[in-house]
Amino acid sequence: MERIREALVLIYDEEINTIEKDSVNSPEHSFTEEFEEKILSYVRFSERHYVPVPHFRIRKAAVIAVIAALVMTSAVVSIAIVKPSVIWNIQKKAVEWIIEFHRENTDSETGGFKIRKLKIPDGFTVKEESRHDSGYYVNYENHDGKFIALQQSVADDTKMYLNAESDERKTFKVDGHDAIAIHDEDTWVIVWDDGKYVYDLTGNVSYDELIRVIE
Amino acid sequence: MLAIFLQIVDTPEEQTKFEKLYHRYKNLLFYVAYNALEDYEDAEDAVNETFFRVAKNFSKIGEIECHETRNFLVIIIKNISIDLLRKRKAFTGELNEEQPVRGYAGTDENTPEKLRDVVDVLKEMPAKYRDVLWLNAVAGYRAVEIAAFLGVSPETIRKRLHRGREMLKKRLGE
Repeated sequence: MERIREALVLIYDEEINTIEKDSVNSPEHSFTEEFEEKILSYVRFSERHYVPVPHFRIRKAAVIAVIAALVMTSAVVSIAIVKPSVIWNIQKKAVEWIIEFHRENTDSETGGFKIRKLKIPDGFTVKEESRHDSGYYVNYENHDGKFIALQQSVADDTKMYLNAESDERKTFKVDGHDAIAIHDEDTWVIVWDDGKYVYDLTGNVSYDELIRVIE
Repeated sequence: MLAIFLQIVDTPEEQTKFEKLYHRYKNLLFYVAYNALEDYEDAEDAVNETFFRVAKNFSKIGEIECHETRNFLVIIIKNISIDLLRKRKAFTGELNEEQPVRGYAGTDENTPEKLRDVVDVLKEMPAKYRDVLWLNAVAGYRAVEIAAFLGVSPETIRKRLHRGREMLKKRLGE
């Protein structure tokens, strides 16, 4: 691995040294006013991206307000306990599907991040693993170059991209929740939720082998 | 343009660093983009998008005056330029991403003996695999971070890493 790293450093340093020398000899560009206007739209996007919009608090306040109104006007109030659910917002573009996930009915939730256990086939070992407050990633590999990787994320503000040009696609249910499987060249990708988390399971194994991992 | 980017960066120290980064590399990046796109407006878009993505992930940027930072920015803008080329409806030619490394004619007497076989394999590898290998092995970014910089999905990056490593393994056994 160290040889590969050294070779990469060598190749890129030499290539970009050449490019930089050429750029110094070329005329300097003055950026246009129209350019400035385009940037404003990116800044607004970044501000929306950076400012945490309290979806839960707004929704919770609205629910409490409705319940309070019902209590005041009605002698008998019943509150239905509903299971948390995940809404999928799928934007279908030419080359990819962009899926944005959003949670509902989270008031009855408790506990921190719980990592989903997988039924990994024999011969696979952990090659990479990382975790943080709202996500977990693990990659398993075997000696034949096969890999199985899981990305688990809290559903809110999670976005996933699926290849829309793939030759095979299936929709089904995992534990009663929506799931999509996409075949992309030599890889299967399965995306599903369980009401709290969204999962992206990817592997260059067969579809049946990948499904067995999550059953 | 600089004032707007500075809104995205968090602290006064980071603003100063970002300003330095911007002034240091904006001309180089415009040069790279213009060479690929041959259009001033598109090249400006590519430069803008590059600094925007960098600003969003600025805590991950290291020293300004080092080859690693410079090479990182060039890789990003090169990939952004390729994406812009793809989006052009009128574009009918072949993309440059599969061609050998520009300015590098192969191994010579200056290439360390122990690296010649690796350099040859990497030189023949499609740039989209080689770029992510550099971002991972040299710059130390994880797949999700590389995906954010290149504007693709993490699974695409993992696939590219996997295929790049498979090519190296097949040719070199490592």
